Amino acid sequence: MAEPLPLGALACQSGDWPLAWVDGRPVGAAQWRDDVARAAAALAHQPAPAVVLRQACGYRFAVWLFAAWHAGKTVLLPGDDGNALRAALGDAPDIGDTDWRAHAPAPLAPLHDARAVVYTSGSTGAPVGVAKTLRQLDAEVALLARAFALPDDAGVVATVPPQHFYGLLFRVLWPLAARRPVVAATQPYPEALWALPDAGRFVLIASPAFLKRLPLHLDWPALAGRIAAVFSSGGPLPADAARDAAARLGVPVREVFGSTETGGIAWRADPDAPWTPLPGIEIAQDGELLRLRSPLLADDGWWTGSDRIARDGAGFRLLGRADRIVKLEEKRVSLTQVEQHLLAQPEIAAARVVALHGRRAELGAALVLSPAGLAALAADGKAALARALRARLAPQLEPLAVPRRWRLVEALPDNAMGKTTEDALRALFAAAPAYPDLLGSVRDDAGVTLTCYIDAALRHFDGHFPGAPVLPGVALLDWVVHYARRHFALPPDCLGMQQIKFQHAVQPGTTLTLRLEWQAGDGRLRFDYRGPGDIRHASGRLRFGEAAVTAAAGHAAPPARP
Amino acid sequence: MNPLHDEIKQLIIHSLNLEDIAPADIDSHAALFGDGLGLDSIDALELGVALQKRYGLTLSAESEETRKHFASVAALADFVEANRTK
Repeated sequence: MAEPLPLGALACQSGDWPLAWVDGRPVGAAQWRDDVARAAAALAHQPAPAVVLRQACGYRFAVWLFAAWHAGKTVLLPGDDGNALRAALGDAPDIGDTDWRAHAPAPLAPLHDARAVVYTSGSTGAPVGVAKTLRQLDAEVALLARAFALPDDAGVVATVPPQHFYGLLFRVLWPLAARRPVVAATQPYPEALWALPDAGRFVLIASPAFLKRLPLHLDWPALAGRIAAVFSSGGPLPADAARDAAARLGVPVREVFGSTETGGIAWRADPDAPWTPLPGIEIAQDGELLRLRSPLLADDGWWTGSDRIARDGAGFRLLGRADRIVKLEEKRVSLTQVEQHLLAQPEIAAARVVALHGRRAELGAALVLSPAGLAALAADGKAALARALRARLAPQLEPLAVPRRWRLVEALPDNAMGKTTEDALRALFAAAPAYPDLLGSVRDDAGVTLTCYIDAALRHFDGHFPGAPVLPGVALLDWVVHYARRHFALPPDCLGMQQIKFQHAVQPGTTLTLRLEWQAGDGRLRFDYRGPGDIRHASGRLRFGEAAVTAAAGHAAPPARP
Repeated sequence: MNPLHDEIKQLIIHSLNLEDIAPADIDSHAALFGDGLGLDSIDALELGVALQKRYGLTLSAESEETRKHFASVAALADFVEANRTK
């Protein structure tokens, strides 16, 4: 197959070729370019610099994505549809799904730069926006084309949504650039494989969740020869499931290991083989932790992840995630270890623990009960079950590491890619917290922008004031220092404040963005709280440094350490 | 049933925000810390503050005597009875 086309020029090509099946009807590249040009015209009058794109139909997704880029917009791609994420996106308007056909096509020039922000649930909690430039996306597509030779005549069908990074690359950008037609609808059920368009073979872009659930009773022999290749990514695929899926589909499952942050890292087509780095990816280790350097990253520095690996020939094996360590009341606690102890209990089928920072730091456990656990619950009630679990864990764990809050769930809350998000877990334990719900954070060269949801349950609203809740200014200042310490290496002491202004009272239910910029040179931390409509709620500067030690102590009170 | 015992159990549950525990679940003579309710030193601080506020007691943190008073609900009740100022 020819080299993939550069993404920036896709909407400015000439010629026609099959590009998609929309509702079973073939749509060509010329039609797509015309649709992009009209949709770009529809977006041209939007003043917002960034727009949110949610669109399950792969064709309409591809139209709006390129239309927004050509209209000069940053495209925000929310992975899930949770409240937290919705708030993290702030004021950016939803593209929605207006009819672009009413608009005259806008003239399109090749793109030199474009940006998408892909939201993912980071391992530490709140949704994280990962910015991808056109250069990075072109590099991903080129790397996939180099790594995987696929038959020229094969189309693409996907079980994963287009807005996750895996779907964005494998079912949207790579096929577009490779001039490979795509079935536009997302196909979450295996039965769809028997209803594919009557045209040649297909590359199946699947999730592990899909491949684990291929029913044996379907007429697999009738599919023979129609599946040209199968990809799996987004989470681990058990070896048995990989073998079963390969037997049913008639081709090996090519597992791709990567992440939204790093892009593709490695692949394998045999569940017993080590992972082979994708072309151009350099692998190293920091202790057991995977390190890598990749043309897909924003810079060419080394990136360290939290996957533990062991080298094996030219590749590596995955040993699992590094322990998730949290600090509770200054003590380090391994959430992984606590979960292992929970899973050893006969009442528990699945467990996730989360650090809660309410009245005091403590652990909350979300449990899926086993049949034995359900029987115990029916017999003695939840309180007795929780006490029994606590009593059994107490000799094995530090008192602080024994969960104190228990939530029983039917299934651990997870997203479309099968990952349990800390955000969803935390939501199970809502109490009276001291810090806002942190909905998202985006780092850039100059600082960090946090999105915070101001919940009415925040302890600061208690008695402040009855019937007219207003967030105290001191809480806003406390949060500035709290979050700044997470993101920057601040000196120990807060030496003073300058130009602190509280322009508008903050009421419960508001989503605020907190912009923090640390100027290490002069020790200034700038902060700026904005609300909906860009209303400024509070702003100012804090100075940080080493407080001078006064030799003649006694009268000079040292500045308080925050 | 000793009404002061019940009052203290309520105070413990409320001030420590204990989930899944009702006054009836707390044995007046069982250990509050360690094996019993499984409370720890941070809870002891919280509980001490709540007792001071409610009964006007003075507690000396960390002393051996204080630890004895915190042994059980019954021990706490005796201590409150003897030292309360409100």
